[in-house]
Amino acid sequence: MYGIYGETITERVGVINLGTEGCMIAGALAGYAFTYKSGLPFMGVLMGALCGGLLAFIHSLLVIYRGANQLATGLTIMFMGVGITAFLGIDYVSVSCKGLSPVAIPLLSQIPVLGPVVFNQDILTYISYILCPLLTWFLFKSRSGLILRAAGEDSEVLSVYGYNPKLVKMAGVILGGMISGIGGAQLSMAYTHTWIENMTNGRGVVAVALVVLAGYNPKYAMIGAYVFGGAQALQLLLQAQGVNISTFILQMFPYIFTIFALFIAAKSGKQSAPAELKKIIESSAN
Amino acid sequence: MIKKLKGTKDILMTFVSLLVAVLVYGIFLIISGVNPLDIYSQMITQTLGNGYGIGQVIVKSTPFILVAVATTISAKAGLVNVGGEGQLVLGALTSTIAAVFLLDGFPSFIGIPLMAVAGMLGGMFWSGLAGVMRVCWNMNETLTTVIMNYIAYDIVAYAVYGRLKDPESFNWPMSPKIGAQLKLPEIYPGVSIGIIIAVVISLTTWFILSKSTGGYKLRVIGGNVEAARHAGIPVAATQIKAFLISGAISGLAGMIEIAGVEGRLRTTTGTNYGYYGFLAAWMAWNNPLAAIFTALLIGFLSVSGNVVEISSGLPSSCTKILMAIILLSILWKGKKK
Amino acid sequence: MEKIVHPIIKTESIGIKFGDFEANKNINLNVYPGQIHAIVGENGAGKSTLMKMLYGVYKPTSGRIRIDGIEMNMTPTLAISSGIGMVFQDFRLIPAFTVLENILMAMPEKERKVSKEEISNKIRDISSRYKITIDPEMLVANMDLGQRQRVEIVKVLMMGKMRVLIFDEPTSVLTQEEAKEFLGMLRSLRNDGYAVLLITHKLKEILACSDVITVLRRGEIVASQTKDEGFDQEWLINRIMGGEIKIQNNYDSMKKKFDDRLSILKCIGLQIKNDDGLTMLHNADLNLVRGEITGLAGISGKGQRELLDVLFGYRHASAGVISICNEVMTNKSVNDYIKSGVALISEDPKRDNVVPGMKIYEHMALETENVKYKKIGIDWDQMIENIKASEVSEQLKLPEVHRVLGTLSGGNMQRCMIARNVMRKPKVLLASYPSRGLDVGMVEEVHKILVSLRNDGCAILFVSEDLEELLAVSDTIVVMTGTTLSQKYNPKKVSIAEIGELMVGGNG
Repeated sequence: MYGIYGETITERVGVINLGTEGCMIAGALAGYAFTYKSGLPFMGVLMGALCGGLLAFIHSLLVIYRGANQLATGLTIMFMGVGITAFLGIDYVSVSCKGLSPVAIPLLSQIPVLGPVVFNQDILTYISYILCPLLTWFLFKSRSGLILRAAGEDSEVLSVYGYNPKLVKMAGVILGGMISGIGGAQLSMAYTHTWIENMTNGRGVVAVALVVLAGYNPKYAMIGAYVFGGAQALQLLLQAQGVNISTFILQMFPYIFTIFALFIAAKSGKQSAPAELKKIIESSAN
Repeated sequence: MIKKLKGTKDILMTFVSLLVAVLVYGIFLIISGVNPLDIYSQMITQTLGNGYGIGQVIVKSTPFILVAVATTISAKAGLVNVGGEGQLVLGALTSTIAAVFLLDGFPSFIGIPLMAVAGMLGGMFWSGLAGVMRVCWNMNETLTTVIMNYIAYDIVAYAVYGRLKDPESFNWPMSPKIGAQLKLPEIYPGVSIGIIIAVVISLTTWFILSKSTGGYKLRVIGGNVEAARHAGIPVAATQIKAFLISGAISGLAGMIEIAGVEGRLRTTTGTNYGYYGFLAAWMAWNNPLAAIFTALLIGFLSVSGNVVEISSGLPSSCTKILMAIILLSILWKGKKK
Repeated sequence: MEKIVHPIIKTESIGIKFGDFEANKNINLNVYPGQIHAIVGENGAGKSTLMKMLYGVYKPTSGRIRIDGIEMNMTPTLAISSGIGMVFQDFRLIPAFTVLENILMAMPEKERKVSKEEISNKIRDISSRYKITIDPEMLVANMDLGQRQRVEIVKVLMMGKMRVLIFDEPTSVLTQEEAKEFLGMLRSLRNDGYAVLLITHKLKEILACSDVITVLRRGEIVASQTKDEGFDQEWLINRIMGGEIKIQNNYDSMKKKFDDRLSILKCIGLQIKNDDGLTMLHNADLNLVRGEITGLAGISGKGQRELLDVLFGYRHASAGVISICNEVMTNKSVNDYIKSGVALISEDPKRDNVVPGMKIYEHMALETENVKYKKIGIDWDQMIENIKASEVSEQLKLPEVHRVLGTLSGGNMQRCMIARNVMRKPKVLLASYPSRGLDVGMVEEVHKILVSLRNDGCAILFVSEDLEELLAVSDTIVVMTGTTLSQKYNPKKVSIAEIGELMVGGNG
């Protein structure tokens, strides 16, 4: 969820960050570890964001200032995120901590059926509800969002008006990384309440793909995220129902869904891709 | 002459990158409270100081070499195939299925080649899907291949938890052992002829890519698609072919893992090998010959990770960080053409 | 009461060199408020370069630019703050944004606090004043080129207190009707005291609205006259084309006679669209004959590239029939065209032919016919020998074949590609600006190569924007007029001025 939002911003400035996976896993560990150490979930979220941002910073530095291949760099970041967290996280495996617990919103959570699902969640989930309109406003209505998007469309135009497109892009990538980091933190602190190696399990990559599908728009990204989440929930539900399908087949669902989504994106949504991103995708040869 | 100088410069650059990475990682180790010199010397003496260690490095490197070569072939056609992982795993799966259900009674000289064919078909199927998606539907192959890796894991898991599960395994998720006659012959205790196959394939690939007409066309496509179109080279068909061949090689790597190393399929078979192979290709700037050495380097690092874990208590994943730092520093240096 | 009007911009013998090439030299130009000042000249005469110097995109390598009498080291930012705005040929707009967003982005720093409503209002003010109808909420991507241009103009007007407006080929994207409106707008801008600098090819427009005309030729000013001093079409054409028309060289004596006029490549009723789906050519007929050089004249960017793409199978025509030696080739692939002996010298070898990292000799085998094989691969030694032994490579002074082509200059790439296509001994050669950017001696070699290929029976389509060259080399001339092809003209019996008129005619 957060990963998708983060990557939306990143791709809007014309950079693709396959390292989103790395940012998320770093966020997951940092969030978990710092909450565990300090007992303050707030610290965890903050550190998750910082670590996600740090990895994104490395990515942006290499890609924007050194002209390194975005896909290879992204993969390396992903790899590095998984490696570092596996190393540093060894002490936290199977240590459990409270993390973020659900906060029921009075009244609203008592709405039948929907209430417990929507309004008995952790604080990060609540934030994620408002993040979508917030990001939509930021990207499409605010001046900074305009500049950010311009960097993804045509950095030359931007530099004609006296901005530094490189800095703008960098800011976008880092911001994206931070949001992805929070996404990771949510995963470990609120969802699983544990830390497991490689726990993001491709969610970052899926996020990258879903952003493409969502036409780089937070609104559709949200829908994409919920559908992806839905595919996962469906899998659990079917299992609980005792449907006689192997879990592994079910686990494939979200990924197959993503591939299918990419297919649709390739068929229809081509125009909506930020122009500079399109160049990269189309010339993705080394 | 000029060319030679440039070659040396490239190698020099790679060395500088390595050195920088080793230094940065040293600092990292100091921060983690261990003496980097100790670690480095352990890595070298305990891995390369004895026959077993060297053998392990070679065994580990074999799939990396193959996947690197596979990645290179796609890359030359201008495609980023990160799906070596999934293609390898699927090749391992199909070759195991073939070995367990079909080839059990066959003698080695028929069984092993057939098993290899099965593995290659598995890999080809997986890469072919991605190739078709890329060429026919214009779907970004980097994303599809990465996602398909995850699907491949699930397929393997489905198989080894399901019909392929060894009835005698006490419920462990693994396939039955393949017939002893289907194991690859060994050239050294613990080291199968897989490495020879890998090296031969990488030499052949190098030769074909740089000498043959097909390799030439492939390089034109990878270099400038417009130039290829203006020269009447069928771009789409060639790209699919490149993807199929590269999938076949990755699939073969999977088969070698089964027939040369593990003897049975587990859920963990080949985990991360595809990524390591991709990175080896990347470090070698897509030169199949250089990829042998970068793959050996990565093989060395991953074996030494285990060594360090045993001797100094650092988790084995710590060498992954070293690898990532090496890659970052190579990326930082950039490719000078 | 008479008041002395000072020029806003005054250049003092400015010039610029790109390497050895002098794009502009010794330019003295005065730009006064309340005037429409037309800058005319052939392609490559240095008009755009001059304008870009005024706007600060290029730095002059000699001379000075004064704004209001003060010497300035121009940059685009400085140009804007001194009130000079430029409407580029390729608009500086982001298609994915709305009009308002594009304008917002361009606003100067201090006005960024202004609310959107105010800006919208201001846009409406300007729009109504100059009869520019644009909807601020519309997405630029959904606009046609004429609308985009209007957005660009409004944007430039809103970027600050503008006094000078530079237009680079503004009407080339407009329909006749739009162009008329556009000229009306220019006049009202002038009446409001703006200085307008206008680059255009279209002589009628210039004559209709200019107060001053400055003619550039080979980078220098050859004439500058005000309306009061008088100018007409004939005067203009003579000045642009160089007055004394000298046929540089006549290749007639070298040409072999062919009597049979055997048609090789024939197309009937072609309709061709460009990448944006705009119809570039319709109902165009063309007949390329054995042993004949057909010169194609026309304003560049009017569909030459698309036509050649179609004749090479790279692009498919939306209507019409193409046949080569009576075999129908419509909708066949590039490979089929190559096999039937068509060769294309691309207008942009770097984009269309050069593979980064590959050596010169490796490029020579790209169309694999005429290539000898050895075992599994191409016999490169034989290839290299062929190149070295061939006459063309000597004539064109090809660089050492082991050098990496992508690292060499554009001229080198071009010469290599000419050599490659000529060495194939094609039946049909499509030569797109083969002599562009080459020095005089080399241009002559290229001409000789074309003629000798013609003498070998090749049907050649020769595209060039240099009319003198076309008339000198071609056996017959076809002009792109409007969106179709003219009949064939005999180069002996047609003047440059006549061709020039055909070129600009047809669309106002």
